[in-house]
Amino acid sequence: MSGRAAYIADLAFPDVLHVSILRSPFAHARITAIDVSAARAHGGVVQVWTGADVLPRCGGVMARMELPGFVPTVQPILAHDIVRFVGEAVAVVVATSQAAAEDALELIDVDYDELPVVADIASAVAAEVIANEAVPANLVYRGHRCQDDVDNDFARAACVAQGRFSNNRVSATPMEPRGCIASHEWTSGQLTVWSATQMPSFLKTMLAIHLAFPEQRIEVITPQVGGGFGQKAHVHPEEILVCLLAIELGRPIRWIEDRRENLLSATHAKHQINEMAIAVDADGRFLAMRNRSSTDGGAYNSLPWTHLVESHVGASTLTGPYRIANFNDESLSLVTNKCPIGAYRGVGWSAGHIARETLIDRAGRELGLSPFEIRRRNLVDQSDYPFTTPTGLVIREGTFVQTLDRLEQMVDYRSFRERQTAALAKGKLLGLGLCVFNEVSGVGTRALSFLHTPVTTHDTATVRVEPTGKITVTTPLVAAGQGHLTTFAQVAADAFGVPLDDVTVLAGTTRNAHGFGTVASRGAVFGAGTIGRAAEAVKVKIRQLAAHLLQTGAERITLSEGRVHVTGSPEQGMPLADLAGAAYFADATHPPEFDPALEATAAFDPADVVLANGGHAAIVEIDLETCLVRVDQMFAVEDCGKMINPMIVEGQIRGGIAQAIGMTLLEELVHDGEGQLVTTTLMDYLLPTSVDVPDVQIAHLETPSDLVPGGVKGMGESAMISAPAAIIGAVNDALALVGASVESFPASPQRIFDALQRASKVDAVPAL
Amino acid sequence: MKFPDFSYARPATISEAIKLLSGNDDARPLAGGQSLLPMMALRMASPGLLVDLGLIEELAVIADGDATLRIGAMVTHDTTARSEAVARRTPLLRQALHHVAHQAVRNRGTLGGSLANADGSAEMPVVAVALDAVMTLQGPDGVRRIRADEFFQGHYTTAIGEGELLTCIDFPDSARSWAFEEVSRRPGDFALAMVAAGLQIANGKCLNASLVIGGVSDRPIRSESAAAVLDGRTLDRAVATEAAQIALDGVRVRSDIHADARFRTELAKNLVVRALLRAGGAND
Ligand SMILES: Cc1cc2nc3c(=O)[nH]c(=O)nc-3n(C[C@H](O)[C@H](O)[C@H](O)COP(=O)(O)OP(=O)(O)OC[C@H]3O[C@@H](n4cnc5c(N)ncnc54)[C@H](O)[C@@H]3O)c2cc1C
Repeated sequence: MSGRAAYIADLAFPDVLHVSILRSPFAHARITAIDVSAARAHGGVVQVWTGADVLPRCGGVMARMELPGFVPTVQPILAHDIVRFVGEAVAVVVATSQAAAEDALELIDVDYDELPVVADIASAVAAEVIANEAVPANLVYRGHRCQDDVDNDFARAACVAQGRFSNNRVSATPMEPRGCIASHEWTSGQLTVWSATQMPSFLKTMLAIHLAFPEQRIEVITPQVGGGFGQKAHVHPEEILVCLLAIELGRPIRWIEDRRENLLSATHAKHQINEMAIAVDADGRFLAMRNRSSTDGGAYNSLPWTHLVESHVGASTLTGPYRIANFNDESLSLVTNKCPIGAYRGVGWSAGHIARETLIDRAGRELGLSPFEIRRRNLVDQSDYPFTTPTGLVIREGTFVQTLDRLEQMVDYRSFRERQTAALAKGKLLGLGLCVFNEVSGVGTRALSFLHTPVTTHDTATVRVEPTGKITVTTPLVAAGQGHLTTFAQVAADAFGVPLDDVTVLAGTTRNAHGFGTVASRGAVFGAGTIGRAAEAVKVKIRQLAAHLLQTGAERITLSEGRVHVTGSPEQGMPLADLAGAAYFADATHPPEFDPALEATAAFDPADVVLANGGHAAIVEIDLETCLVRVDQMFAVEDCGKMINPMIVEGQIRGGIAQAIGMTLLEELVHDGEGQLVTTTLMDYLLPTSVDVPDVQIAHLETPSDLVPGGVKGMGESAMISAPAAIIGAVNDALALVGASVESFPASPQRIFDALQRASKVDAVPAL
Repeated sequence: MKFPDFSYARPATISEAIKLLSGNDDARPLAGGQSLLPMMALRMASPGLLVDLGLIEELAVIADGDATLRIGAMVTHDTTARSEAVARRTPLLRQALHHVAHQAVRNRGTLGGSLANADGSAEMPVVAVALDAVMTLQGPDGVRRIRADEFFQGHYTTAIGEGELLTCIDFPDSARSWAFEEVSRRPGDFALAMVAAGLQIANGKCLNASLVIGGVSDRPIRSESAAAVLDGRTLDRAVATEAAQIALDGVRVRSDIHADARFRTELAKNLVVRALLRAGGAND
């Protein structure tokens, strides 16, 4: 670590102007008057805009999904007439310093007439009040992923486990909040945008459309990004606003969000209710699953994911790696007067997995089966391949049972139950939870279509062998601390058989290459796919030239240890540098018709869903007197195919588990009945710290993918898909000792206390 | 967010500071800045003049005196936590400091700032009340001394008058053995509830017990009736529980997003039991 990485707030521009945004204090209100005259007159202020100024320049952020019945929305860049959530942008001040902009902001006078508020899912469904008049009945979309008849299964089930699980609204809370700087050079007509974004190419195209600006003259540059986790995988109204101001004022415009603004107005996530039931026969075999989920989606659809990123997407993999023959579901994506919901690591999967795994444990308890045994009886096994899930996912590979066996060894299940009993005698509740999952990773066109969010995506990469045999790679994929550039360099180094030091990866500007973005566990898959394919195209030329020089067939040429040689006899060949030199500078060495460009650009989009898998287990302890939950141990088994870099894979697992602990035990964006956000600082919105996260034990399985060059699969989201379910499972396992359970999250001390008040077996704990 | 505009002064003596503060109700003393500056950044406070006490050396002294341990208002949490004299004479203070914020905040935050700030969920006010500390206030009209019991008047409200500075805090030696217990959502967060319990044991019997509960109200709550339960009794879980049951009688326990009144009450009672048993040396 050198401390030299330059994040967006570190970029210095002469002549830059600073932006401060006035945000709505009401969840739903009509703006009856805005007076900006005092702000305009304030020292250092260059411009003040309201919705009326922006509307003629841009109608707002348009977000839709091409599904019949989907109701699109437009989020104004600055609200006009009506505000629809606390934190919605109402006016902007541009000034010569940030302090002056913020001082002037306090001088803007807005009159609001408050309107009735849709503050939760119940009132959104009731639809007596409409949160956004563009959305009839507050319903953006009603999804039915599967409509199997399950009544028979439930009627003949030996055991029905059911619950109503309320998942909390959380924020991805990247340590670096959002930020964007735009500069418009009127002489060249060039618009340059520095943005802490995960989707630079997509942002470029969306800016072109929303600003009606020629795309070939837009460059989006991504500096170092301090975490994104999905929150920076959107086109935010502020990015468009900053560009409009840069074009208008002809000076660089800088917007660096502060934490309060981030918690108020950067996309929220995970807010859904799942009413789920599973039918199980007397042998513990799953017969059917029923689920009705409702997403509290906020006032507008986010671009590009929309409200569908939560329970609608979640429904597709709700039956997971289990043999569940019949599935019947409905998912409602509802508008409310809250900040729009958006992507956050694990997206709509986290909440549904919590519900499913909790119910599996409940059924196991009722039938006297261990959590491992009931899962073992139902997991899809090698002999079932190819197995088609009710939603149409074809499972061709995966190590589900091995994952379960491995977890059982790692937690040492028998001795855990003994420890649990011993602890109970001392008044302590220990609990064990687990989750086995498959991850729709490396999400491309096929995966998005499977998830019923039809979007076409592919990425490209260019690979060039330089005259001295060094390798230059350009990629559209950007990193937010995950170490992608190292991973990508490794892919290229392996392809050409050269040391890592011989490879340079150029990333961070849309001048390089086109792509969709670093989202949805795509980075490694699309990096390996694009770079692997482009490298292969260059290697064809290298083999062709080498075969000519060595007087052998191209199929007999190998690249290794920095040399190009006849397979099996490294001495019969030459350094890659010599061969590259020949291609560039020695025409006489070329075979007839040889195209000497040692450079290729290739696109990649997997031919099918790239399915990774794994599992998590958690052991927690609940203190009956304080109601605090402590995570004692975490275990992870990951099968992401061929690992490019195990250290980076494990970093992803550990970071995801920390977020899972936050989401399940600490973090909650609390709104009051008027839709007012109460948790606007990190003193109230509680992120996990290093003392809240135990050491994580990790094991790897490797089932290479045949869909991606190098056998790679994605895994960036895995821990946030499944570890939350393991942690809540553990909390409920502990609470089951006294006949209690929690179905509302996070499992805060207050909720544990409330659960204990309803406990049916309090006498299980011996009096001290 | 950026601070609103303000002027800044850094006097070298107490009397200069008082001169700057008196007659200017837009002026505020600045100690470690760990509470005041975030409030300014959030634009919830916008004093016109900050009087930085950082240069006034006599405010930053710990005096290991005969009758009392005297801690200057500007002594940082970190210095207090590391002080040998504090460990020896007021181990309760040291124990409680483990629960105050994180190292970075303790490096700057001060005892005087904490007490003057008087957050209802802060640890230092509870300790000051428990140890019968005496605050010295100095203002344009001279010096006065006030007992901790009377110093705290509500959430963020104290007896400090206009133009006055809290200059030092005297902790008399305590014959009691003390224990401090706290519950917060994460280590270093403000308390959901906390308890300081002190007592003496003579011939196996409990005497002179004292109980102060924090985080449940707008100021530290001294529970005399609960302490009285213990008088002359052999301390065990049953007796401690009996005391805990009445410890919050008559107190309107507060609610917030982390704990409602009912849960907070139960929590505090459980902590009373824990603290009493630990103070009495019971192995639990
Ligand atoms: C992240 C974080 C976590 C924290 N967690 C805790 C915690 O768990 N427990 C806890 O108790 N505290 C906590 N704090 C607060 C911390 O302990 C502060 O240091 C303390 O509350 C204020 O002390 P200060 O020296 O920083 O005072 P300042 O912020 O400088 O001042 C606070 C107030 O006191 C006034 N003041 C200061 N000195 C004097 C004086 N000598 N005479 C008169 N008035 C004066 C100021 O004008 C101001 O109004 C936390 C703070 C942060 C930032």
